[in-house]
Parts: sequence; structure tokens; C-alpha cells
Amino acid sequence: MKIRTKINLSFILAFILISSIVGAVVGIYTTGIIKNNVYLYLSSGSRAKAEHIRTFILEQESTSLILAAGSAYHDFLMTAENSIEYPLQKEKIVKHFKKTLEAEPNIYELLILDVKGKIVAASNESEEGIDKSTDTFFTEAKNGAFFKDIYFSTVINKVTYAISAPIKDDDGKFLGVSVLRYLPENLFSIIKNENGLGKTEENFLINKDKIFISPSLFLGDSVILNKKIETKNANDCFNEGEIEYVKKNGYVGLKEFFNDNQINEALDYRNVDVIATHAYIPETGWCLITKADRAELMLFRKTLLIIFIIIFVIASLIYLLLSYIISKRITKPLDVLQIGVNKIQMGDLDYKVNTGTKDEIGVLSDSFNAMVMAVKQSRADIDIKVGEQTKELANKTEDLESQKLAILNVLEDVEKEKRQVEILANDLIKFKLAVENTSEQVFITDVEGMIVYSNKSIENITGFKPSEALGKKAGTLWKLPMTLDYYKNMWDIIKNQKKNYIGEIQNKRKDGEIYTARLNISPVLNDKNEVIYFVAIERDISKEKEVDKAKTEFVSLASHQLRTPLSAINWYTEMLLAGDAGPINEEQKKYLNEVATGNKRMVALVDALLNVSRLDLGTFMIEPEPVNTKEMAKSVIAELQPMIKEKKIEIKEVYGENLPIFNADQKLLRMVLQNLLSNTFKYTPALGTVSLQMRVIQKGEIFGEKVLSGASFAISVGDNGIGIPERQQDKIFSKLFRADNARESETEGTGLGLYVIKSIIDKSGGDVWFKSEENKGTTFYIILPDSGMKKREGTKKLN
Amino acid sequence: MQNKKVVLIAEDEATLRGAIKDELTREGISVIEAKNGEEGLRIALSEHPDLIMIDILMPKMDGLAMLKKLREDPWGKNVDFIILTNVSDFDEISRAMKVSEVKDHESFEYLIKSDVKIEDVVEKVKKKLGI
Repeated sequence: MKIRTKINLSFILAFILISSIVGAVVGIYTTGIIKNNVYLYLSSGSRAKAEHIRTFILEQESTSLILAAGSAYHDFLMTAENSIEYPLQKEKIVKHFKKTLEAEPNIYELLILDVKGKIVAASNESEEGIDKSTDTFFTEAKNGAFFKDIYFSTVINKVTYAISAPIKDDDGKFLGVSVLRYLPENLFSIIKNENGLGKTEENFLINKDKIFISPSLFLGDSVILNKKIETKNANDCFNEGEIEYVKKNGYVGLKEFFNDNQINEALDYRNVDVIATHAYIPETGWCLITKADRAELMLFRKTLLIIFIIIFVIASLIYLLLSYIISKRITKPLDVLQIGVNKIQMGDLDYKVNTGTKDEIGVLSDSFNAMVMAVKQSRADIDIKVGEQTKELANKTEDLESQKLAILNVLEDVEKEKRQVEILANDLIKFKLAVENTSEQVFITDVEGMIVYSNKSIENITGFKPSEALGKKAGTLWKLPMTLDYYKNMWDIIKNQKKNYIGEIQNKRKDGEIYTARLNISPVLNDKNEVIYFVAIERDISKEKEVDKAKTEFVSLASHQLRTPLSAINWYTEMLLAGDAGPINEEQKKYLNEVATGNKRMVALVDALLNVSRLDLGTFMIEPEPVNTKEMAKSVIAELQPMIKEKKIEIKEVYGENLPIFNADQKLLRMVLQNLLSNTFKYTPALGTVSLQMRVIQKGEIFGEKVLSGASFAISVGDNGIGIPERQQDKIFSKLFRADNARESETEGTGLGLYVIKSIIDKSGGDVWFKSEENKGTTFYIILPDSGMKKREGTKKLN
Repeated sequence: MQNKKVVLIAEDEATLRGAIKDELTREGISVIEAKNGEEGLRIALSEHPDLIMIDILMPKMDGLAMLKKLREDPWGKNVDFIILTNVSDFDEISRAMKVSEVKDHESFEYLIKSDVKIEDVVEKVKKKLGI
């Protein structure tokens, strides 16, 4: 709840409380006072009226006395009825009556009664002569005035009261009674309600019997001499004490004497709540009842309440307004503060709250400002800290993210692997079967060469069962017939260099027989790059070897057998030509030269055939070693100089810069160059041009109209010779093939040169091709991997 | 007059043997022959020739085996020789080199019969003999 509201509420509550208290107090007090006043008014009104009636009656009594004592009456009664003066006296009385009645309109009638009680004179002549001797107004009036309480007179047929007085002579002798009859209406007008207290105020008289003798406001005249009331008020009126007092003192001090107002709040004769008071009239023994309806009297209370409420409302409105204004003034600084707080909450830390007051709120707002500044400062600090930490966090998050990704990737991979493993598991069974059953010997050893697994073929090849081999060192089983160096080298490769070892090995079978095997040992590494196993695959190549050996021996033998006679022919021809057997003539010389030539051709052919056979047999080996290709080329050209000089061929040599020392088999490379260059010179006519290029070509470069897929050592030999006819170009690398134009131009030629080149180059990992046009020239292109010619195991070198 | 140089030819092919013998004889060199390695070894050790020409491919004992055996002989250790062969079999030749225990390669001579002229053979022999 807002302070203002609180203030307002408290104000209002206070107001309500105070005004309620005040209102109540005032109300009660006022009510009391008013009530008192009402009572007073009632009682004093009542007494006043009673007093009035008393006076009235007393006056009437004195009138009666006076009349009774008057000479007229005296004289009348002294006159005997039969005297002459009687009518005169009577006349005087009548006049007297008339005058009296005129003077005293209240008197209803006058009566004079004689000593016997007979009406001897009456203002109402009809009543003369009536005997009233028994009437109290006669009987009681003999000594003094007598008040005859209100009664209904049959004589006059009215409600009346009478006051009588004795008529006495000078001696005091009773002569008669004077009676004055009054009508109570006179009284009625006295006690008539003046509406001072309201419409329900009434005054009425009751006699000593508590019977109405005046009309009731509410019940009318019918109550007169009819209705008796028994109200408290009425009873109180005839309280002896009060009667005595009033008789003595009148009404003065009545209140103080009795200590109250003689106010009664009770039910009246109608059973209605009234406030009533009374006043005793001792002269007549009457009681004047003055009463008013309580409701009506208390009506003022309602009025009071309404007034009070109106005042209250107005006052509270004013009060509200005041409290609102005041509270607003008080709380305005709070509002300012509130606004400030809001602004600051929004983030505007530079905002300064200014309430403009020096009161507690002002102080508070100052403190608040100070605090905000402190907050701002600390916020800045925090921001920095947070910034740093956020960065850290971001980094960490990044790391986490990457880790998460990595983990996810790993998980993915794991999943994949799992799947793959499952697939592999299946494959593994097949694989295992394959390995078990392959004719090649497969065994696995630990790092020291102890066999942990071998397949069935171990028995076929070595004679040892797998169970015999298990747990034994391979060397122990096969007795290591090779040289120590061999094993040292092998172990070095597989264990230290951790590379595959491929080679031939000789082992001993269980029965002692030595066999040759092709051996492939692969080290198996763990993730720390340590060797954990060796996997060895051996193929018994003894038979192959034998076959190869046989082939090789055959070729060797063949070449030897072929060459021997050729050598013999050569030498003897030579000797003949030299004249060792005697001089020879020109013709003999010529023929012998032919023989020698033919022989040389034969030798060349045999050589070529031998090489071809080796190529065909695939038994030749390639042993690359660093070769200075430029030197080799030059030396080959030097060998061919005779031909070059004879034909006067111009040779251009282009060697690439940084031509490296190339890994090549010396013999084979030389053979290639020899074949290539000799061909070129052979088939280029005199005065022709030959160009030789040797360089390193990079991957992607174009050489010989081909894009090279790898860096290569490239040789190109070009000429402007006879060229190769297009329709024969596809056969040019074939064995023993010579193009037609080649045959024509040059008789010598085996047709084997290009075949040999191609075989060598192909087996070395290179490529050879050419571009040629008949009668224009030919260019041959050779490329070899720049890493060198591929090493090739073989049994023989080519010639 | 200095002693005639003696050259032993260990060669199984008679024609070739004959040709070399004729030529060397014409040069005034004395020639003794062997047709196989066994014979060659025997004759070498008994005759102590100045130079031995050894054919590699021979029956009974091939040239390299003969050479090896020769080298076991105190005299044979230092004898000069020329290898004769028809096949340019480098394996054989390099083995021969090893067997011959020749320290410097200049002393190791081999001739490929089919490639070489008879007069070159004679030249080589004369050079070896210091003629």
C-alpha cells in the first residue's frame, strides 16, 4: 500500500475515530441537553399551565366570594320572597347577573341558592326553583368557598364545574350560596397545546379519580368524565409528597426538591411511548398531564443525526482533500524518488534523484544517489569481470563445443566402426578361412620372432605342423641357412626401420631339404609406433626358382653355344684377313669381309635375342644406382662418333639445369640410350640433325604432347630422318619389326631395339612413345619416374 | 735371349683355343692348353705359366672354381689371369672378381669372346706379359 494511501487512510481513520468519538460525545451530550430542554420545556410548560389554571380557578373562586359577599346578593337574600321589594331586588340581581356575565364571560351561569338550597335566582331563569339542597355546591359551601369538580350536570346537560361561596349576613349568618357555574372549555383553551413541542404534544386534565376532564388530543371529547388513565405519570401526579409540596410551595423549587423534572418516559393511555410530565393543581385536585410522543420529541435526534452525517460527510470530504494534499506533499518526494529508482532500474545509472526537500526523504534520496553511484561503479567493475569471465567461458564453451564435436565425431566414428567391425567380423571369418587355407605359408610372430600363429600351409612347405611351430622362433625351426648379414639386414628392416621386408630366403624344411621362398614380412605397429607383431607370408618358390634357373641356364647355354661358333668364325676370318695364313688377294679380302660382316650381324642378333629372351622370360633385374645421366649420354654419343662423323650429322644436346643424379640401372639405361641414339643416327641421312634432350619435367607439364601425371626424368631424341610410315607406327615396338623404309635404307638392323627399350622402360616404371612423319623425322619420348627406375628382382642382367 | 713367356689357355672350345694359340705362337709366346678346369689347374700348378686365360664355362670344373683353387696355391695366389667368357654375365664376373681376390681392378681382365677381336686378345696378352 502506498504511503500516501496509508497516510490518507490513517487520516481518515483518525478522522473517523475522532469524529465518531466527538460525534458520539456531542451526540450524547446534545441529546442529553436537548432532552433536558425538552423535559424542562415540558415540565415548565406543564407547570405554567397548571399555574395558570390555578390562578384561573383562584380568580374564579375569588370572584365567587366577591359575588357572594356582594350587597346585591346579600340584599336579595334578605328580602323575603313575598315582600314588595322582592321583585325589585330580583330585578337588581338579574341585572347584576347580567353585568357579571358580561364582565365575566367565563361564567356560564350564576345561581343563588337560599338557605334551604333552592335556586332562588339563576342567570338561567329556567333553573329557578330547583332544589339543590343536596348538591355539594350547596352543602359544602356553607362555610367557605367550594370548588365543585367537573361533573355532568343534568340540569344544564353539560359538563361543568362550579364554584360556590356562602352568602352571609353581616353577622355571619348563613343566608345562602352563590354558585357560579363554569364550563371547562375555558380551561381547555388554557391548556391548549401550542405546538411548542410538536404535533403530539397534549395537555389534559384529570381529576382525582384520574378521569379525563378535558378532551384528549387523540381521543377527543368523548373521554371527558369517561376515560380513566392509569399511567405512571398520572399516578406520580397524585403522589402525596408532591401534593404536599405543591400545596405548600407551588411549583417553585419543585424540581430541586424532587431532584428531577418529574419527567416520565412511559406508555400513555394509548400505549404509545411518550414523555410526560404532570402538575398537580391543589385547588381543584386536578392533575395537568403534559405529554408528547417520545418519537416526536426524539425526532430531533434524527435531525441531529442527519445534520451530523452531513457535517461528517462535508468534513470528511474536506478532510480527505486536506489529507490528500498533505500526503501528496509529503509523498511527492517519494514519487520523485520512485521515478528515479525506476529510471535507474531501467539502466540509467547516471540519473540523479532530486527530491528538492531536506527532510528524511531528501536525505534518503541523497543516500540513494550515492548508492547508485557505488552500484554504477561496482557494476562497471563487475562488467569488466564478467566480460573477462564471459570470454573465458566463451573460450571454455568453444573448447567444450569443439570437444563436444570431437566427441560426437568420435562417437560417429565409433558407430561407424562398430558397424564396420560387425561387417568385418563376418569378413573376418571368411578371411580367416582364406588365410588358413591358402597355399602360401602365413604366420604371425611376436616382436622376437616367436610364432603365435601359423596356417595349415606351414606343414606343406616346411614340414612342421602349426602346433609344432607355435611358440617356437622361426629361426629355430628353419635353421637359418642364410648368412648372418642377411638376417641382420632383414631384422633391421622389419624391426628398426619398421618397414616391410620383401626378399628371397632359403629355409630348411623339417627333413633338412633347403628350399627357396619368396618372403614378405610386415611389421604390425601399435599406435605408439611400436612393433607388436610380424606377419610373414612365404611362398615356396623353389620350383619357380628351378624353372627360372632352368630358363636362365638355357638362355645362358644357348647364348654360349650360339656365340662360340660365332667367335671362332670371327677370329679365323680375322686371322685370314690379317694374312696369318698367307697373303690374300683383293677378292679374297672382299669375300672374307662379307663373312666378317655377316658374322658381326649374327653376333648382334644373338645378343639381341638373348636380351629379348631374358625380357620375355622376365628374368632380368633392374638395379638402380645413382647415375650421371649426362655423362652417360655423352659417352654413348662418343661411342657412336664414327657413324656421326661419317654421316656428318649435326647433334644438338640439351641437358636440363640441375639435371640430377638419376637412380637408374646403369646397363639398362645405357642400353636404352644406345638403342635410341643408334637408331636415330642410322635412320637420319647425311647432313641431318639430331637433338637430344634430357631434363626433369614437373607434374602437369606437357612433354611430347602428353600431360605428365608425375614429376619425371625425361629424355627426348629427335631427328629429321626417314620417319616411320603412319600405317606401320602401331607395330614399331613389336619384336623383330622393321618398317619398310627402314629396311630399304639400312640393311643392318635387328628390329629388336625398340622392343628392348620398351620392355626396359615399361618394367622400370616409365613410358616411351614417339611422334613421327615419313620423310620428315621422328622424335622419341621417354619418361621415367623422377624417383628413379623401379628396382626389379631378377635372376639375370641383360647383355 | 729371355725366356719365352708361357701362357696357359684353359678353354673347352677347341676352335677358339686353336685360334688364340695360333696367334699367340705367331707372336713368339709359348702356349699350353687345357680343355677343362681340372686339367687347367693341374697344368697351371705344374707348369707355372706366366699368364692363364680362363674360360668360365667349362666342364669338369668351371673357370671360377679353378681360379679359386689356384688362389689357394702360394704360387697361384699371384698369377696373372684373363677371364674369357661368352656371356656378359656380370654375376659370374663379379663372383670371379671376388674369388680372384684382386685388389685393384686394373689387374682383373675379362674378355667377351664374341665381342672381341682376335688381335685385341693378343694385345691384352702382350700387355699382361709386359711385352
